[in-house]
Amino acid sequence: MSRLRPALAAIERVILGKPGQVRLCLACLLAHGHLLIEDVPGVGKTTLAHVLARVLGLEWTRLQFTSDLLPADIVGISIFDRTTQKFQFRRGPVFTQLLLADEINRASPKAQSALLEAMEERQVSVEGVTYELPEPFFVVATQNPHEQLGTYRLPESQLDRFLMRVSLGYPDPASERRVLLQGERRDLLNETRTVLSPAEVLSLQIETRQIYVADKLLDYIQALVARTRAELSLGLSPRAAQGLLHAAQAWALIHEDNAVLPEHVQSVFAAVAAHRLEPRDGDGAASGSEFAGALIKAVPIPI
Amino acid sequence: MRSSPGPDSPEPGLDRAPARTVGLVLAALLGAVALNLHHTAVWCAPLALGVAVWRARTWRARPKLPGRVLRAVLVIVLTVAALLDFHSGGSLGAAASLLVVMAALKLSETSGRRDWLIVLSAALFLLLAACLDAQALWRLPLYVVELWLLCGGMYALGAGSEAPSAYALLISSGRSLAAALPLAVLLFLFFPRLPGAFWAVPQLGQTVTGLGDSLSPGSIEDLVASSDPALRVRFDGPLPPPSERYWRALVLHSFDGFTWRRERLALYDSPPLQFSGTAYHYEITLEPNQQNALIALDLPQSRPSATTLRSFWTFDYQLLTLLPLLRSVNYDLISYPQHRNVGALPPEQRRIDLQLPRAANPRSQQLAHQLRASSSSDAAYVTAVLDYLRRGGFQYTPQPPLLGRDSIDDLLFRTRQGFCEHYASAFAMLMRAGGVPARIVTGYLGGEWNRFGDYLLVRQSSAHAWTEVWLDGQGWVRVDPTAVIAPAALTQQLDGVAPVLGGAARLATASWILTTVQAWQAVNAWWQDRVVGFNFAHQLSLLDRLGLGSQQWRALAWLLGAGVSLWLALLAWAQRPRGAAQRADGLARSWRLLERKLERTVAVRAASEGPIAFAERVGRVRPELGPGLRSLARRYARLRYGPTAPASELLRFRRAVRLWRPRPRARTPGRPGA
Repeated sequence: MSRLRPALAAIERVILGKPGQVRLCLACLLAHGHLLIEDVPGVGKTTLAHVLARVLGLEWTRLQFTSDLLPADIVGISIFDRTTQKFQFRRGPVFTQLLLADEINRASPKAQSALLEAMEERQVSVEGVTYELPEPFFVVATQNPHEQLGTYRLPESQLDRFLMRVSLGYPDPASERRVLLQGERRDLLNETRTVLSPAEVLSLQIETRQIYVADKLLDYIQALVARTRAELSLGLSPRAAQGLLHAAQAWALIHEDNAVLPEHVQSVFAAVAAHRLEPRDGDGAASGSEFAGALIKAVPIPI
Repeated sequence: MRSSPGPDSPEPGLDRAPARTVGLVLAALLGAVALNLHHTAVWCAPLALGVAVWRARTWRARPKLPGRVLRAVLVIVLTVAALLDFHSGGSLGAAASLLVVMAALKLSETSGRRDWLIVLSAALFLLLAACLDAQALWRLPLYVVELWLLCGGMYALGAGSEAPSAYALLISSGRSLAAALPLAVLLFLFFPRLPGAFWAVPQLGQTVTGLGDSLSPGSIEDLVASSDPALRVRFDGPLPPPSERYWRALVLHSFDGFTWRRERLALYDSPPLQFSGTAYHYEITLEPNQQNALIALDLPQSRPSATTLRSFWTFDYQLLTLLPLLRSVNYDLISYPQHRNVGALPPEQRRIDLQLPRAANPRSQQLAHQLRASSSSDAAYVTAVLDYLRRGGFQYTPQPPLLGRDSIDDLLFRTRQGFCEHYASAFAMLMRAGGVPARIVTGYLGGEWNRFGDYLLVRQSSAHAWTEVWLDGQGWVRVDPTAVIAPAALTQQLDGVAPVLGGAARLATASWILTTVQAWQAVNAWWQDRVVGFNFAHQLSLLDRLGLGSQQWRALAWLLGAGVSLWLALLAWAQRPRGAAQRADGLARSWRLLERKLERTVAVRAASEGPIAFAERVGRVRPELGPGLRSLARRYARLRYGPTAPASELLRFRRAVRLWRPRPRARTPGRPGA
């Protein structure tokens, strides 16, 4: 557990004034989930993904999503090799430990679904052959709010595959001033040391799953999920409930607790649930995060 | 003096215990020592105080003790010194001294919780010793406070390093004691009290003031200075007039010229009695007097009816018990101040009551012969002697000059100053010398009426001696020569009863001081009679009143069992889970208790607020509560949401919650949580 502290410190040196979001990102990774960062351009989405990869010692690739991106550009393509007279699979950028899928909502639904399938299965099937993705495998997708021009909104079924959605938002004035004074982020990134190794990340992921969960806490998670299903036409899925549990376990690990507490669930709930609970036709006007916040206040914790 | 804690400290936990724990334990010990001041050896209390002060200054450290040999020597020397006290302080005093010594020595080597518990146990035993030895009412509040301190100390030791404030400790222990009170009352009322009180410690060597079993010049004098109560009398019906309040104790027959003594082994038949006039029904509470004589209004009709008090008559109408009275006793009697003997005085009794040393007091004997020669009858002789005493210029004084070997000659012809015992002695001697059987009766005269308790209090200072002479045809007649010499002195002695009998005028002069004193005496009397003196006989009469008199032991057992069950049921009911916590388990109940403690003054937890978040919020508005509350919330969360913890963990948490209290904030009365 103490291994996480220097990692957090290293990330926070680069991402200023966002300790909560930094911890959520790390928790998402430890919970074996994929992360969606939703923000306007220029607030540090890419930097966050970059620094995460660097501090965790992961091999990483950046893939800029555009409207003309094809699935083969993501997973790879089979090419006929004249010398061997065989098709040979050339691995795409998805074969990495940390994939930064930049501006995922700019790509066509076809390209999006190719990535999301890989995310879920943690493997790629091309022409009947299945290729395992490396471990750990972690997608950090960034997305501009869909009001912007030229974007395709991710469908619900695909949003569900992201464990968390995190918004960085604008920095507070003090942090922004430091950003202005510190100059190039890229230089700072290059100075950042690697704190963990992929093997350590894997062992931390295993450790996360071993954090104790009491019956009372499962009651709580079930109560939260049931409440979403009662109030919305489409509530949280069982996968979301499981994700909530894992995220809470990761949060407990980061906060050096050996058991999940209601506070941990509450801390990750908005990040896990909000993007799955965005209003649809017939639902109220409240945004997903507003709804998630109100829900946390409405469901009593089991004493 | 301060040394660092030893590396091999067995239980380092208590070295980190809050100072208040140590303070409470030390206060409890010193309190217990103070309560035993009156019967422990003089050097015990300073020893305990010294060690306690030293320990209070160095409690964090493990003190450097003298070597093993020196320690052993110290123990032996102090133990022997304490036991040497056996003769002056009695067995209980010596035992208490020994306990003080042991507690002080243990205190000097306390390091772990176990040691402190031993010190506390010693204090508990000391409290018990004090209770056994002294049961006066004014000590009761002291005993209660001491018990309270002791319980607080136990709570503090139990809580270890998490001991809450002394205030919280005392509140908790006070509540525990209050909850135990009904049980104590039950056991007090219904636990079978074996007659003869096996727990009563014989009070060896202790001097109890009271009448002696012999009379010589000066023997009553000591009593006159003592205002200790001798007996209390509660009348059922009318009171006898003051002039009839002669309380008869012992009858003295044998005279050696100086001292009058009892006739120990005289198993004669008493001359038959005939009673007349008013009968007085009364109940006497007699203070322990080391004698085996019961005291009665002159003259009781029969022996006390109480079965627990074995008594017998002697030929001279003394009421004696088989064993000396070491505890106060209660008995009912009926007396007739008017009585006369029918028949003649048996010759052997006439012989012992005419016995006189021929060689002693020659001048008095001569005087007796002269007076008898000029008197026509025994009755006339009695009058003549009384006349002689009245006219002879005799003075009544509480501090008479010392008398020589021929005490009566000295009194009658030289000093002419004396006290009741002197004149009774002289009169009886003159009677015997004149051939009239006479004997000395000792007892008390008068008594003061307590209008709060409706009883007559007779003090040791009312001790009196008078005579009885045998006149043929009348039998034994009481003659009080002091009344002839100093009627004023006797009136004064009888004056104690005046407020009631003298009417409104005297009542008006009674100051509030008298009122207070009398009220206090009445409460004390009630305490002695009904609480300290509560015995098997009282239990039986209680059973009678409850209609269960026939099956004594079984009834006691049933009442005790039923009472204890009821008490337990009430306790369970008082602790029942309420409201939302109805189905909650013990852990949840504890947490709700913690919330209730904060609810009124500090903050209310929202239903969706986690325990730690709640503690953090309270810590922000009330920083002084933060650390304690955060630690409790953490422990709660660990127990509630963590892996299964040992049961002791839960118990410790529940105790910590019970003891924890938000101290009211002095500065701002706001309600930050609301």
